Amino acid sequence: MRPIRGGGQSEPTRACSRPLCARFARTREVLEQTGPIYDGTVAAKLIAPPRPSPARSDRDDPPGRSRPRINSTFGSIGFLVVVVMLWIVSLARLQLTAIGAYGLVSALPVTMYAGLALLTVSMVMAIHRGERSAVLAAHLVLFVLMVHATPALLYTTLRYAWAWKHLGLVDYLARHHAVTHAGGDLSVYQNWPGFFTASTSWLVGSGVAPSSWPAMAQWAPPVFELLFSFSVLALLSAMEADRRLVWLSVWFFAIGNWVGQDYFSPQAYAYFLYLAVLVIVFRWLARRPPMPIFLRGFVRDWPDPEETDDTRETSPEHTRAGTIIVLICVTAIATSHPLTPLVLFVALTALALTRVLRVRSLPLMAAVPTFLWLEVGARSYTNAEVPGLVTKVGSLDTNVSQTLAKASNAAASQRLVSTFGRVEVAFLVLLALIGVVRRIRNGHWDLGAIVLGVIPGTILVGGSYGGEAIFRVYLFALPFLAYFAAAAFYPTKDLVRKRSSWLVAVSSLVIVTTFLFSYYGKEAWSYFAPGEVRAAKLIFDHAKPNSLLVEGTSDFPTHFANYTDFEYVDISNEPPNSFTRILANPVGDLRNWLADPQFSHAYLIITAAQKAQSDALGSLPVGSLDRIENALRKSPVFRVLYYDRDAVVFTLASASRTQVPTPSPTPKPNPKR
Amino acid sequence: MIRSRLALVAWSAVVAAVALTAKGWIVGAVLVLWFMAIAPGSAACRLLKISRERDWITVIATSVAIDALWTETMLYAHVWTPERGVVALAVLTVFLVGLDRQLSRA
Repeated sequence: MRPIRGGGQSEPTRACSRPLCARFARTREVLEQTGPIYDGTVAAKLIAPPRPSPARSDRDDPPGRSRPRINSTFGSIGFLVVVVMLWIVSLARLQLTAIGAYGLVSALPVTMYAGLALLTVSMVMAIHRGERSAVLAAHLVLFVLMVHATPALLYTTLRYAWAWKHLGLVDYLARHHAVTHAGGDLSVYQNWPGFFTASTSWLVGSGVAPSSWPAMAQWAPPVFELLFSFSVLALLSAMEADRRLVWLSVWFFAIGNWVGQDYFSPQAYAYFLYLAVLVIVFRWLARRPPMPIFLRGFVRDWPDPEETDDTRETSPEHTRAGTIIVLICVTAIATSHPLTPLVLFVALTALALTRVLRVRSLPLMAAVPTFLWLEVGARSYTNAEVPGLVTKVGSLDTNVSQTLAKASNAAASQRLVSTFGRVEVAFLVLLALIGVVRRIRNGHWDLGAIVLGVIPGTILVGGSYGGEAIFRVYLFALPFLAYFAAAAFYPTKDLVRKRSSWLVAVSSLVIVTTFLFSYYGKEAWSYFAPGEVRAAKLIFDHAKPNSLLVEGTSDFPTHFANYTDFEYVDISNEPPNSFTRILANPVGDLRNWLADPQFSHAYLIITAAQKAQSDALGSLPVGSLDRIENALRKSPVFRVLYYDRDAVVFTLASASRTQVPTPSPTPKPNPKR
Repeated sequence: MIRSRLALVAWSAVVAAVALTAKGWIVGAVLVLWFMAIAPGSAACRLLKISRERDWITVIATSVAIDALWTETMLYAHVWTPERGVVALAVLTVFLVGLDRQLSRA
């Protein structure tokens, strides 16, 4: 072991007017006199002059600053009023028909961008001034509403195909009051039904008509995003006392969360519970471990002892209550979503191994409901799927390359959208690395945050989640990436530089710009026109058991009623040779599919969102679905059940069903989605 | 977080009535959602002596976790219907409030 070195590169005797330099010189002087001291906190306590214990309200303010003047608070409120007005004007001016290759980015009026830019600058300035929490919270809420409630306010239909599919689970539970383990489409949700039983209880139990469920589900993104943001605020407040750092972290989290896992879904529910568990862990069940000796040599300046004092509530009552609530939440996660409990288990284990977690048995306790559910509740699914998943353990390259491959086939506009997403991730990671270094250099050791920022990477090597894996990793790591990214600007409470606010403002504007492209860039096919919903309702509301539904792609309002009555065949998922045959002879080939005698009824649906998606992502050659639609509309073999400019539904003309003597077998329906 | 035992019991009664009549009013839907997001967790946190304002994330998380676990348990016990699920959550909330009262007296 070696004694603490006072600092890295700067010389303590160098003339320096900065108060930190003076303090640093004094630190080194005292350390040299007192000999080896191995704990930085002790050293700082020895050096620091005795001071009265400050009241909580004083500690909440940035050092050297009083509460912001009342004028600046009114200034912030004035900015907020202007931003709200710009938002309202934007909502009135926005035309949905202008949604284009860059999604909503193409359609948003300039007033919306002006409002978001003003809000960003106002938030950054308010954070830098140490503005009141209520004012900062108002900025955060306004950002979440502007970004995530705008689609809900503008669209008359539920966006995103998976949200419709999840309503299908609610419909199933409302009809049958039970789950099925018969496999088939969406079987994963039948085995993890926790979120859906609660949602069905709410929607059906309060008497909401099925036709209104999409309107309710439409508000899930702003609600979940608010829950996420305030959970991250509570989590980071439990880890760090510097309000400026905490609020900037939460701001970076809000503007960095473009992944879109906030719709009506079990993963959004489980992610909120994941964050809530971490809040409880860091508030009542964690400790702040000392910095390892090998890192102490890099410390340039130790923080005030009051900054590093562990003020967590660690009474036996809090430990007991925290453990019970964690177990309730873990059990709910374990029965609602397959991936999140595993990430949580790994995270808790890592926190216990690194001695951040005081209750070392908590991972074991959390493992019981997690693995018990896999073995009992979801047995039918795990028996069928685990062997395949086990073979994919370690498939890091597959998980990453699938994402990259999808982007490489895409249209130029989508490649740009994808690039914006990557730039945002790279920028936040770069800032976070700088933040980690600056925190250590300033004597802070955030081991818990480092562990939780790195642990989600196990998703990439722990199994196959297809091209989505990399997004899940980013989502689980984001609160901690945001924390360290903010620490790049505010590494310690003492360090307040005027230029920081401008750097933060510029960085925030960069992140908001990339966020808008990444989050809104796919609206061309996430948004469904009313005609698409009418066409889908025609099929699903009047479904007959054992029907066949052939779809251009799976991107349309689907599965939302009677979903088990259908076998689904996605043309865009067909192997290349099969698809080539369809394009060469769409009428003949698709007639054979729809005439398959094993199905009682057969339909084919092509919608505007499917065309936009397949053209943009390159899942089919550009214009393929238009060619198929035109050929079928001209053919007397097919009958048009529904047609408008956004959707068309075909079935076979009644005579055609009997004219096909030996239909070629229908391709096997899609595997689980 | 709702601190008043009486408020929790009254709210539970109103929500149970909404579920049993199931009129489909938007006010009823908001009332039931708000109840499911806050009430069971408030009762549980009272019981565990967690009762400060800044614990509302804990209260919401506990509530929605209890919602899922309670209704799921009923589902696998083959006694669940959506209406019964809401009524059972109201009953559970009243039970937790009553238990808290008993323990406080003891």
